[in-house]
Amino acid sequence: MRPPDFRTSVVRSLGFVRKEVVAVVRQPKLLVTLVLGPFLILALFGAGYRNSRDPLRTIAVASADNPLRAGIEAVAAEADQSIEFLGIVEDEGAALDRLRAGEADIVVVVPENAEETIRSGERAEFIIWHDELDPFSRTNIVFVSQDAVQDLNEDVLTRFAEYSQEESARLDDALPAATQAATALRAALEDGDDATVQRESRRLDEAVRMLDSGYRPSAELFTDDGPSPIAQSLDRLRDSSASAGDPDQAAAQRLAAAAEAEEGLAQLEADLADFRRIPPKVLVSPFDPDPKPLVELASDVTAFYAPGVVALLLQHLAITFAALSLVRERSLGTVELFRAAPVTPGETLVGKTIGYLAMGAVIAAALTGMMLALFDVPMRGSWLEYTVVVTLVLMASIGVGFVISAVADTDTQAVQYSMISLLAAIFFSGFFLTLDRLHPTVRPVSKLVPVSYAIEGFQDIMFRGSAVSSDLLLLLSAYVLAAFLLAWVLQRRRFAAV
Amino acid sequence: MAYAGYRAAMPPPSSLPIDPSGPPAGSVPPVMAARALTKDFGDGTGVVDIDLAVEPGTIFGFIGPSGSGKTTTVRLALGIHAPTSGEIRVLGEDPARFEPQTRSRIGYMPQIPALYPNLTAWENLNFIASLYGLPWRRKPALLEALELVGLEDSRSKKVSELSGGMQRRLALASTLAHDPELLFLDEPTAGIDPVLRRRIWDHLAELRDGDRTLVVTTQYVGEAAYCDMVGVLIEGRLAIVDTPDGLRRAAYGGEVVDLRGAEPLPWSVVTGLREFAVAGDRPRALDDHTVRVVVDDAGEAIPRLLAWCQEREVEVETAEEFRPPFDDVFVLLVEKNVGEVVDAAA
Repeated sequence: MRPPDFRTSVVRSLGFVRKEVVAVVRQPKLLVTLVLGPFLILALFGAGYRNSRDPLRTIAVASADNPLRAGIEAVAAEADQSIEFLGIVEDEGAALDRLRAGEADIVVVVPENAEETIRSGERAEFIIWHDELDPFSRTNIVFVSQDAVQDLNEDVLTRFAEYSQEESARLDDALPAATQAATALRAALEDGDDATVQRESRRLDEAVRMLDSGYRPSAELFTDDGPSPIAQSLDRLRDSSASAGDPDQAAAQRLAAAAEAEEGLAQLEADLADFRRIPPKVLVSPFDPDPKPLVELASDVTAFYAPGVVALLLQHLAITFAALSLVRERSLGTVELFRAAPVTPGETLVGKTIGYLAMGAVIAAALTGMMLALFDVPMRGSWLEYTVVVTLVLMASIGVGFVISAVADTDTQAVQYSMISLLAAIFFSGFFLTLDRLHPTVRPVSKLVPVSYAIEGFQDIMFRGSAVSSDLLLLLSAYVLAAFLLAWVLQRRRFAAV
Repeated sequence: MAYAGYRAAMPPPSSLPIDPSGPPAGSVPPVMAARALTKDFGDGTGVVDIDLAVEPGTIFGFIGPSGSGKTTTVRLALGIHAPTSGEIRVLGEDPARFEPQTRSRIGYMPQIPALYPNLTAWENLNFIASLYGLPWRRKPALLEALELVGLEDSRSKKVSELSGGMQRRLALASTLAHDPELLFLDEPTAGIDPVLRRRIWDHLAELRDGDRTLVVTTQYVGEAAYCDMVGVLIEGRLAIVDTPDGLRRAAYGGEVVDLRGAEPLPWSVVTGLREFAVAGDRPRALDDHTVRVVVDDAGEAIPRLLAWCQEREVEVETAEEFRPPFDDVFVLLVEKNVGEVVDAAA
């Protein structure tokens, strides 16, 4: 078969372009609804969305003589907005009744015999009752309760640290006595006064033992990666004290050990001063996370979701228009006219694609303008790359729509398939759930959804200001080719004599 | 016999252009020719064994009851349907393998107007003209087509605002806009008022006179009179193909003459006229004064009838050929041919 000549082919394709554009422009209400509707919904969502949850209304259950009551009350008093403390009750059943009645969100049952449990080497459990069905709310309860128990644990540790610091202060008298004994021992060794050496050596040994027994728990408690400075000082002090008082050692070695003990005591004094200066809360929780994102984003959730909404909307519009167009041609009977006329399936697809692409471009421009103006979305990257991504996503979506139109027999079927593609886009595009939450075997499904490329591309361009990866552009281009090839093959079948 | 009329009107099968030996030298090949053309949809519908030749510069009409295969035959000729068996050639090509250039020479008006309700009459016309590659400066051609169907004042109206008849006229204009040399019009006048129907047929005749060939289906049996050749389809079979006059002859077995006496005609006269009737037919008294005789040739028979009456001193008021309406012709043809079709199918 001879190919149609280029001029008439252009005339035919442009006929479709004009017809499709006019048909849509004839429905201004449809256009306004399609463009403004989703943005009004997004604006309402943005205005009403709070980036925090309602505080969990919490009831604690503990007996009147439970030693943890004070700690619970302290945690409740210091709790952030995540908890609204309703009080401590003794009757667990009554508390659970209030939970079932919706008067509380969680009921925390405080362990009654915590001390015994801990002494037996086990952790004491807080039972947390809730009545949530939503998995996200359940996860929130887990996080909030872990946070609260962590606060309680920190509270216990803080009090222990305070106690250790107070205890260390009580030994302050022992430290000068030990220093005096060390100095006297060194002088006696220099003078060769054996009697004094023996007496001061005992004094030093007793003083060092007292310091070791007093400071050792504090020194070992707050470190988990090797001995603390205090522990190291104590170790060295014990060694040097033992050497200085050992009569089997040579005199010179004993003298050096006594001098070392003096220095060790001075170092210990300095380490203890440092230890007491550190606030107990810092001692028990010395590290604080401080996330520093490479890309600064407005905290507004709408700004983050706006590009995704635009991408989703463009895909849905393009798929729906394309899916319905050829089905409607069949229901109107115009396909019969096409089959009798010299127009080819390729010219039909080219003409309709250009028409929908032109309309999609106008809608994309309007949506992008609104997104930048109303939702404070940054545009840090290249407009050219943004245009390329929009064009490719529109074409991929139009291709998918044509495939749907070839498969669907009725308007209703075409709309249903379009809605399925929208659902797939919501779940597999990274719009609501990031793709790394999907199982690796399911993740490739996202590559079948045009909007997933758009969201990734838009985020790179608008938020990061970086270039779109060449892999994304290549994959998306391949997608466009594959979709149109499939649509062309299927439409040829529809055009063929039956 | 009616079927004999069909055979007489058709060229012998060996002269059809789809015959491997080709048309006889010097003869004009038919624009459309089919041999043993069959389309079986598997549900008892379709067409069977259609043998047909449409000569260039003629109006060929398909008439037949609803579901008799008129539209199927047209779709086979356009390549929309593929034949189950048999062959068909249109403009010398197999429709299933039409070149785009060949399709450009054909105009098609589907039975249901293929129009976009949201577009105006002009936009619809313009779009369909573009499908046929009509150049951008096509406004005069489109205006002419609109004027022909009397829609020039409604060009800015949306199709959804047009009546059913106006939509059909617009579809007809869309078919004519690219000035095709072969037109397939599937019930072009359905739903159109009689005045405009006549106007449209006049224009179709003008197109025919301008060397266009038209294949027209119609359920208005009376419109067969506008055709040069008429094919009667009954239950998917082409029962007869003939000229309109030929159909009348086929239906009645000859030409019909009505003789009206000034006085009531005696029975002896009625029975005596039997000698003028074609074989197997008997004169019928329509009332006291009038008798109907089917003769072989009305022009030759009427003078003889008058002389015969004069000899018997029967005063004749009128003696003229009666041209029965095609509705009656069609009913008679169907009644006569159903049996043959059933036999053929068996």
